[in-house]
Amino acid sequence: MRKNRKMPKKMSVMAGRSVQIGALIITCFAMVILNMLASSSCKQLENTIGEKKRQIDSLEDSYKREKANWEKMLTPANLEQALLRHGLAMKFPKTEQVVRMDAAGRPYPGQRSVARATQRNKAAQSAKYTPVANPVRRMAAPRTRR
Amino acid sequence: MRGENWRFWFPVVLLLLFAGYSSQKLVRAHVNPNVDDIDYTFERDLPGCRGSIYGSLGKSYPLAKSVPLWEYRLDPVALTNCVVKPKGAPPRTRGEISDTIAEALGLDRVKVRKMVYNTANRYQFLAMSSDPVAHKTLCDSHLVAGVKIEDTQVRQYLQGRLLSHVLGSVNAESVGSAGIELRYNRELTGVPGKIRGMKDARRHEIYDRRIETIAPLPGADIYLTIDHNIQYEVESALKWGLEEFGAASGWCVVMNPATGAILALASRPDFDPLAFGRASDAAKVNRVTNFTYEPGSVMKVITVAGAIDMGLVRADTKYTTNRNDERYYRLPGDGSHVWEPMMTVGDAVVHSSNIVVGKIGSDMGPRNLWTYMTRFGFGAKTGIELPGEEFGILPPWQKWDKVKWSRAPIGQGVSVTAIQLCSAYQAIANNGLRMKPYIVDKIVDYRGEEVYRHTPTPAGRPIKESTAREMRKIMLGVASPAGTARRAAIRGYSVAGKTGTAQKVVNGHYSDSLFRATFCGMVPASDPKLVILVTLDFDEKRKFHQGGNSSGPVFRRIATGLLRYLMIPPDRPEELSDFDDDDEYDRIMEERAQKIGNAAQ
Repeated sequence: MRKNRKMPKKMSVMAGRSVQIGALIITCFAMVILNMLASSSCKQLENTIGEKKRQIDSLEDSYKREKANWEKMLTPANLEQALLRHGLAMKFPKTEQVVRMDAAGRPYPGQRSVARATQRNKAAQSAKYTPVANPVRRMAAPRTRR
Repeated sequence: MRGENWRFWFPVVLLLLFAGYSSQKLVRAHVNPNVDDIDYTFERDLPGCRGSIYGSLGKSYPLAKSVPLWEYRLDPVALTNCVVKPKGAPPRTRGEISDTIAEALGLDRVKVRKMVYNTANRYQFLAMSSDPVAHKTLCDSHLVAGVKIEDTQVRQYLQGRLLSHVLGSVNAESVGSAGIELRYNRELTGVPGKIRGMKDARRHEIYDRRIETIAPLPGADIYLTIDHNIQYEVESALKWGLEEFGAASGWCVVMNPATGAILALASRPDFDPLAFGRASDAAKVNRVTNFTYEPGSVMKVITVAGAIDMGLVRADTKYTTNRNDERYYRLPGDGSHVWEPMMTVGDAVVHSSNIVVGKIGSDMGPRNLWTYMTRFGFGAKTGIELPGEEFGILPPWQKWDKVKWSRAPIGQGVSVTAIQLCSAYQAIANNGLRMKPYIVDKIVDYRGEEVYRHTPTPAGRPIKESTAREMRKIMLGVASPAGTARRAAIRGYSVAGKTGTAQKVVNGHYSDSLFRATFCGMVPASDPKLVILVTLDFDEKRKFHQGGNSSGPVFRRIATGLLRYLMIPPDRPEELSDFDDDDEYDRIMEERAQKIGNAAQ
């Protein structure tokens, strides 16, 4: 009697199921791999971001420090010291170097600077219009031989 | 068949169980991460950056700010155990490493070597530094080992000792311990943040497993009314005054009379804000607000202003300078002004006559005198935003005996603070309207929003406008050649003020050799823009101990600089063209004073 080589019905059902489960496991495995890859990439990005953040913080801190150093150099005492180091002693201008004006731009009366300027202008104007009749040409003295 | 089924389902169930357990753990870890690891979680406060303090010139010129620094500590044990080996070179010895550390931080080599060999003491403080080169060197594991670096914030006072009494200081925990730092500690501190995370068995934070970070909110910035250039001018002049006249201490206030804003406030001796703990108690006292003293003759202005305001006297009302007047009880002595038998009220202020002002005070009566003193703000805090302000000592008039009644008008028996005195003179400068002195202009939070802005607030009108004008006219004479403060006069500007030379109390008696010399003045007197008070405190007998001789020149030095800096036009421009320079002006003023003195004698 020829043996019936056809697979029994129960066996075929089992084979179908194992294919399905195998596919499920493979899918899960693939997803795990994908997840691992994604998470690894995320981790890398996170590290990069963290590094950049630390870099920004460090740069901000060094900016603050430099700014503080700069501000310290701008204090009146340090400026005075720096000027003295270069042999510069600053002082307020003399009265005749200052012209004080009101809101309309008119100089206050009685100022030394204004008086001096007026005097100088007058002198310049009088010099400008003075006719010169016979300009005396100074001759160079003749050289004498010893 | 049954056996085959079992073989198939058993691993599947196991796999499913494992997957279920893992996913449950994962979910729990995400939802509530520290359910199972309570022992490994930690919380740490994250201090916010302390707010800065700025002057009236704004953000470009900070007075105090927190700056990130690196704090270096040395662990000699770690240094000994580590092998430091530069590339292609033999390992470095401890001595070489210590030399590198000392060089990078600018420390003494011998001192660092001692620290390196002292293995009993771990984590020894090396230095705090902001130098990036030093940081790079000390981070390099091929060069050094055993150096622990911590990021920290350090309070820096960019102007050094300038304004030390106003700004105050902070302690090691960044908590304000004096001045504005103490008064506005809450605003400056901000809101601390928080870090929650996991730690390993060595109690070090696992940075990958930080649960949450709540960022701190920075503190608010405080803007003061102080101009650091004016402050520098004032402190330089005060320092000069102390050295020139041999005073032990001194203080000075500059106020804007229109608003009551403090432009400069200096007190000497001062302290280094970075070493507040090591400063002496005497140096820590802000003598402008936290110190009371008998004002002396500067108080005469208050008495005379009160009497004129009451209508009791006028500037030309004459009084006899007879001390043994039966109508008055125990009048004070009058020094050098006894030659004039009659003196007007105006002259009494100009010559600082104790007898005449004593008589005016007696005529006013204690109640009126006390009322005017309280109206001018004596005996009460001015409300300036600095900690520890004193009230001064002004007992109720009912408790005054006859001696106090005769002495209070000339500034004895009452104690005031410098800020009260300056505030009283500000009222005269501001046509009788006293403004509340203030030093904090505005507070701005970290978002840049103003949370507080001071608006100039009147604190009362002690005298009428006409009285204030008359008083200024009288006080003009004090800085004239005939007055007690001719050395306070400024070329081109009218100066109204009053000198005071108060005897100090030693063992319950007034000393004949120790004085407090004060000059309080306003300039230009025609329309005052500045009120300046200068007091020098003498611990020894000195040649120039009077208000006019010592504080007057300091006042003049300050006022001359500030008038130029603030570009305040002269109200006596004719004086500018009269003299070539200040020295000539001084000489001529001295000559005039000599002539007046000779004529009087």
